[in-house]
Amino acid sequence: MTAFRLADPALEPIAAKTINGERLSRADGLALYASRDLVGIAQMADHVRRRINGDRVHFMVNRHINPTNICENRCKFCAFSRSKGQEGAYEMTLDEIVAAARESVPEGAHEIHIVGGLHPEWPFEFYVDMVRRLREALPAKVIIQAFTAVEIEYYAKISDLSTLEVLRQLKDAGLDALPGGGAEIFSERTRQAAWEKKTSADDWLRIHGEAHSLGIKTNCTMLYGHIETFEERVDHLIRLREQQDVSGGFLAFIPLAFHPANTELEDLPSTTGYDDLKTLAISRLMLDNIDHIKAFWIMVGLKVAQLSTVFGVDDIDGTVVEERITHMAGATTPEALTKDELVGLIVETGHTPVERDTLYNVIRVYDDMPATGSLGS
Amino acid sequence: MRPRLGHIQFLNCLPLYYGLVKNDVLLDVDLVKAAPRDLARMLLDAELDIAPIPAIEYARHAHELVLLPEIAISSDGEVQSILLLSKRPAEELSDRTVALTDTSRTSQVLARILLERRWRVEARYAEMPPDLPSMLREADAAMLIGDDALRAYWQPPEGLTTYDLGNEWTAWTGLPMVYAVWAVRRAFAEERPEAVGDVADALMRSLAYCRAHLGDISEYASRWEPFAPERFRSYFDALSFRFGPRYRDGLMRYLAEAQRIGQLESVPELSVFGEGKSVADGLHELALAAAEGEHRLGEDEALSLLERADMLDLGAAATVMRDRLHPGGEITFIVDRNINYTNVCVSGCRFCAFYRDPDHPEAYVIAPDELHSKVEETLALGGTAILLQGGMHPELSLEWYEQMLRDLKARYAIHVHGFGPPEVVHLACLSGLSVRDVLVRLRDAGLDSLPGGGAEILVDRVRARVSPHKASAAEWLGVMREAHLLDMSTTATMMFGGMEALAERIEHLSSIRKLQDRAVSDGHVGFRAFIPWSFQPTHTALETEMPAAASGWQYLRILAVSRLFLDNIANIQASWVTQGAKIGQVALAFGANDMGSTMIEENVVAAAGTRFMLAREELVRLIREAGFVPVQRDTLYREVERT
Repeated sequence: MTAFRLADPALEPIAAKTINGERLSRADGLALYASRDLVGIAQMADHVRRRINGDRVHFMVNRHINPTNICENRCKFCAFSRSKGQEGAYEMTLDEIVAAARESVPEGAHEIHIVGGLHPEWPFEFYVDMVRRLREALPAKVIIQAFTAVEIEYYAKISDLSTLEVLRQLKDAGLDALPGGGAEIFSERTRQAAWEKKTSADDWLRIHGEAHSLGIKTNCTMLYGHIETFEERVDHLIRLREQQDVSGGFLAFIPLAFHPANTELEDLPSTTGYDDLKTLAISRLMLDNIDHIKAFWIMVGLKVAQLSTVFGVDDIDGTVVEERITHMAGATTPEALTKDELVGLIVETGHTPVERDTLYNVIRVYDDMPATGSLGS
Repeated sequence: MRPRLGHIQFLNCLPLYYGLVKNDVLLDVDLVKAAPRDLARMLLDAELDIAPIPAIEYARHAHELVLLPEIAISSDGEVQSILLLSKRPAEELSDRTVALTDTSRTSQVLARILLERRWRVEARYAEMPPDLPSMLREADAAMLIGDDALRAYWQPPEGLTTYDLGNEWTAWTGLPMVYAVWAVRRAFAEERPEAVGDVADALMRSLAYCRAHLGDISEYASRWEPFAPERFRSYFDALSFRFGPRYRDGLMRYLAEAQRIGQLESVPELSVFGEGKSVADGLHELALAAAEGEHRLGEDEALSLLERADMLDLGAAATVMRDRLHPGGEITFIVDRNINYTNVCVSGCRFCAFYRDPDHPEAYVIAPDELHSKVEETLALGGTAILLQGGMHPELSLEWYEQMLRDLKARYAIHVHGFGPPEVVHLACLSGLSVRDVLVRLRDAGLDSLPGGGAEILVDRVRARVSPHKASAAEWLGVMREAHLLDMSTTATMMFGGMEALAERIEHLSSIRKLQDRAVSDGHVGFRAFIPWSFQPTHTALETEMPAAASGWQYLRILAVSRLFLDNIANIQASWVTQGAKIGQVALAFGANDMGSTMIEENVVAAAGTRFMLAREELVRLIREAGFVPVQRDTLYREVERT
């Protein structure tokens, strides 16, 4: 069995559990966060990652569409949202949305990913129409992943329907999957302080459970690196794990590093490399019932994303063509990466790049790439 | 059950055998000695688990075998013990008989490849016992191997043309030749991978031992065999046990040629034990042995680590070594300012975005007032030093530098860390003084220590391509040697990710380590720190040829290997300037013990598009969040303030 080389003896009991496949406790999660043995934590996360995903590192070619940045909520951590009429506010028409989605098909996209602001005037029918028209316009292989739980809750409010009914109508129109956004940190304390108007933890988890019950797969996220404590992060992971035990429809977990620039919380420092990598690795270790851990390179940067493939991550998202949300908040990564660049980064780490769709169906395995990825030699 | 290991009972494996004996490996394996082709048969019949076998036999049975990654019997040029002795030039052997010794499969095929493909002759072949006179009675040429060949090599028979087939192969292909490989039964490798790892490790240790003791081994061999020690030494030097990337290329070329002349049905892919998987146990152990100070890494070993070791194994081992050398959990940093006194430079390095020609509108030489106000700002920010560097200005005299230093020292209590070796060489050139005299004059004027800039890659092949007008590798090292002898404190750097091969990065590390060995043995401080950083191509003349900077992945690997290899240099510095704050911090998990400078100003790197300005508080936060105690140090690594 794999022997870990741990610098921190406090990790030994966790290593034993990891090797035996036992579930980690809240105390274990906190002990991991308290340790400075970054490579020790990585070895354990890598072990789990290999057990679940072998040497595969997934990626996807998709197209993000943000139909509007006009939003009722105006959360403090968001640099993207505008009020109606404010400078920089925009809204797309259905024709524009469909045209943008169609453009992506010849580019090889296998997913249309839609999230946006909570527009004060668009009715729920607008969104149902959007999904229906997209479904009609797109080939079946292109999966529609759209609307966070926050948006679903908002549509229920403006339509006087239940969230379950909202989900059912969207599914009937052609919705395949929900993205994982809007979970933020499940603690009520942080919600009150930073996004009081936003969906509560209970509602967020309930909506995902409802989606799972309808056969809609979803992702889940955690927004970290703002005002939350390590305890609140670990509690967040445990609540996701419990939900997954019940409803089982989470495909991937995506920790989202908070970008403070241009937000009301901008005097907070950015997350550090240690924090990003530990959070990814600890997620891999805690979330024993979620298959995929995804690093969002737009948020953590390409260098950390590449390195994260030995810190528990089996998915680097993605070849994003358009990603307005993070970029308005001053992230310094390039806006899009070509497929070749991403494959090259993965090959350099010795892993096998696998192009997938939203549901982790394999589109292509890149196992014929030269084994030496050493740039500059 | 102990692994059953085959051993070639020829002279070529004597050094290895010596290493096996001296490393007590024979206690852990059953050693079976035989000729290579018999070893191949025994291995395929499962009478052995691991054995050196002819390369051609491996290729014929590759699906049943995997190879050990680091060892082969090979040559890169002459081999001395595989000869073709011919009554006429090789090109004239068409329709003649060539006698081939029946003791070697790979060499038979090699001889036929060279005859048919290099010399373009169609000869008749006869397999015969290795006796030269009887062979030449029936044939016009004879191939000999082993002791018979060595005898002929050292005392060439009259009237015959002698071809060293290793030499001929390398002259023809530009590649090394691999004669035998260490093969493992695939089933055994799957059942007992740890045993295979142990044997591979033991072989590597034995090789390292025999390489270090070739003189002794030659003496020993000469007591039993009818050759003088220097003959053995020459033979053992020609023989290589390497199986690195070039050697594998050589093997693949050989197999392709063998197929072309009909001696091999198909060319297999090399299936190498531990590769394609994350953990090469042997490399892991090697890295840890280095980390714990039990083993000094050789260049080949360091190259293997850089090429193939598991990323986390490297990080774990580098952390062990860092913690051994710096047990307090402290990470140091310095508050200082980089002042570029001029951007005028006649060096024209292709990786530099900073320099200007003397008549360029943006060319400048710093005015004394500006220099002094920068120093005052530095002191006001709690800084202890300035890093004073500039271009190779064609007109500024040594006296100008002395005046600058005297003015600084007369006004301020600040450490001046200044002038990399290329500037010193340039000043020696301009002034007509020796390097030593230039250093003495700068030191007497107030220079406190010498930074390691301008090292780039200390391999002249690389320097000729990226910085042809700058100090050569020998000049750079020469300046540092003089500085060490004067007891001046210095640092060393490496700029990687330009146009060098991985082996050249290791060559660079090795030059630094050797020079430091000399400094230490002479009682000098030498290099206080080593700082690797990656070439930033943006806005430089190399941008079109080298559009991408080396990745963070590459950076952390070379950082960890530097920590493990440079066992005589105390401090390894992270480079957040080139890597960004995130990877700069993660460097603390890959061997770094120092976060470098707050870099109040860094024109050179900023001009190349990498703009990371970290305040003191930010460095402190990065160190603290990683779980370490931040300690502000001075240029000599003495504590200034604990935060």
